[in-house]
Amino acid sequence: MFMNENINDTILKEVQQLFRQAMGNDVNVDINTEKDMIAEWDSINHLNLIVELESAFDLGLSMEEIEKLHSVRQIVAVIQSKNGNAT
Amino acid sequence: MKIALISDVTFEPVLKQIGIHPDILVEKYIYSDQIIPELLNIGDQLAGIDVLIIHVDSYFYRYTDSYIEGLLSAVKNIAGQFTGNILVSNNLMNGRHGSLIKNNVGQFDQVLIEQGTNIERLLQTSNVYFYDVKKLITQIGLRNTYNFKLGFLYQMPYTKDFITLLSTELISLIHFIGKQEKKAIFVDCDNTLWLGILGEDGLEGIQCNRNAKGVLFFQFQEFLLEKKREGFIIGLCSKNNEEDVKEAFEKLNMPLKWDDFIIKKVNWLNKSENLKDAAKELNIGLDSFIFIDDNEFELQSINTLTPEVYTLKLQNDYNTFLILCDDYSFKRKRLTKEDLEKNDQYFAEQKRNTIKATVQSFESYLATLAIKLDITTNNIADFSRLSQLTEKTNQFNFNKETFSIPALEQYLRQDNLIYGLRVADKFGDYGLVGLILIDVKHSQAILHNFLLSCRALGRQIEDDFFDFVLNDLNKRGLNLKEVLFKETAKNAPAQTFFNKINHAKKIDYAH
Repeated sequence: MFMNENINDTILKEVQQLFRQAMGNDVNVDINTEKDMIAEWDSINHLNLIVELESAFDLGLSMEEIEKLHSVRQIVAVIQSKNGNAT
Repeated sequence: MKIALISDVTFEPVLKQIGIHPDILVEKYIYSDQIIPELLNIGDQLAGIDVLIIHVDSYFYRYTDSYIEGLLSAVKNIAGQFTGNILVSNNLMNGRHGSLIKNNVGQFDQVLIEQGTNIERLLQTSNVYFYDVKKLITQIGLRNTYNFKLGFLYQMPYTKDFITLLSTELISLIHFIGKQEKKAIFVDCDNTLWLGILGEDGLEGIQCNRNAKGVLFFQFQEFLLEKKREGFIIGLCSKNNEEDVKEAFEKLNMPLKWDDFIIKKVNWLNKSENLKDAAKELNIGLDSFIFIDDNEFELQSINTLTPEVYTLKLQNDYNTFLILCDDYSFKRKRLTKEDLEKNDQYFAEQKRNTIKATVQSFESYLATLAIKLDITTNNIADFSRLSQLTEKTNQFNFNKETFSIPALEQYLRQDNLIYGLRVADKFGDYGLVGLILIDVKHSQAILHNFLLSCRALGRQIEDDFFDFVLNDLNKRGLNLKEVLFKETAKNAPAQTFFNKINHAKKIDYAH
């Protein structure tokens, strides 16, 4: 799947903040972070994160889309495509 | 407070918010999609737990009516065994429907009515309380409560907004269950009971009516009247001329009347001093007071000088007003007959005090009261009120220990003795005001606890009650070996009597 590498900084910053809200203030992610890279990103905190994302971005994600969100890059891409930032 | 929680949805996001409170510790958490068998087995795992929360979401799972019946039986089962408190979500029943009308638009659904009756019976027989999930859903709407995708993927169907509302509600309820109920509501007058300032706007200028400007204050007075009927003492604490305020109540047709207020502190003194005096007159602690005012300065002064008083700000905004009326400080666990008669008792108490002032000797005064004591032994019908006494009585209480109704039943089953005391005098009936618990082991008796409601103090009733129990123990061939007593900051009245009793022996509790 072709991934748009045009990363919106505002969105990334907000996603980073949501990671802290969901998993703890010590959890700092960047665009390259993936799920198996941090201990705190377990299944329970993944659920907390999805709850925060759905609330902040009003995403209306499908079940398949939610299941695929295993990296920060995927998360930002999905948010951007929903907000019409994809080119 | 140690909590156990069992839920048919993944509850971690809610637990995360509850866990922020240092005084609440979640000791045990069970998630199961087969919640009925888990409920039936949980009885053995509740040692040391104060509160069991049972969260069931009939709306999300669309449980059938027969499944709900099974759930209610299982909850009733635990309620009978568990001596702590149980909190249950109120969308356990009737989850799919907002009202009693299900499929037939012209008829209430009989099954739903029966579920309601079963739940009411459940609430009457044990320490089961509901937390109002339906109220929360009404506040934000079904669509803003449920996220079905998340629910099906992770068995956690709630939005972030709902998680926040639910955790706040649970925390409020847990704190409420763990504390004593409030007893008195004191209110300011200007811009609290009516719009405007009486001293400036005059009788014609202030508003308390059903018009747009006065309706909030009219409804607030009706709210206070409702609280009075539930057993709260209502008092005034206002900086005004007393005659002006009295005239306002007489000339304007407002829901509250001058005589609805048991104590009227309408003067120019410091409000903290007034509340302290009121507390002494009512013989209750300042920590059972709620004080409501519109004025930030007055509220801050109360918060600083008498911080035990719980303060609330009344603002002239209807949405805020609705939130104020929902405050847990106004809630009751259960109303008993004594609660409903409480205001009459306080008025009767005032009459007694006026007579006291004119009589010379204390003994002759007591004689004029024609006090009658009525003592019952092991009377299960009294347990609701006796349980309440163990919760609420602080001053004449040998060992502060709360007994729920099941706990009293269990105490009785162990062949111990429970004595209840009713008192009446020429002004009225106090109801059940005293309790003595006697541990019985091998023909030896130990006085486990002695409680007397503050209304019955100062009349030498404790001597008569204690004498009766001694005589009764004698008749049963039991020897009073020991009296248990634990000194606290509040129980000086009990200490005085304890020192008087000959069998006195103070026991220090290690925990």
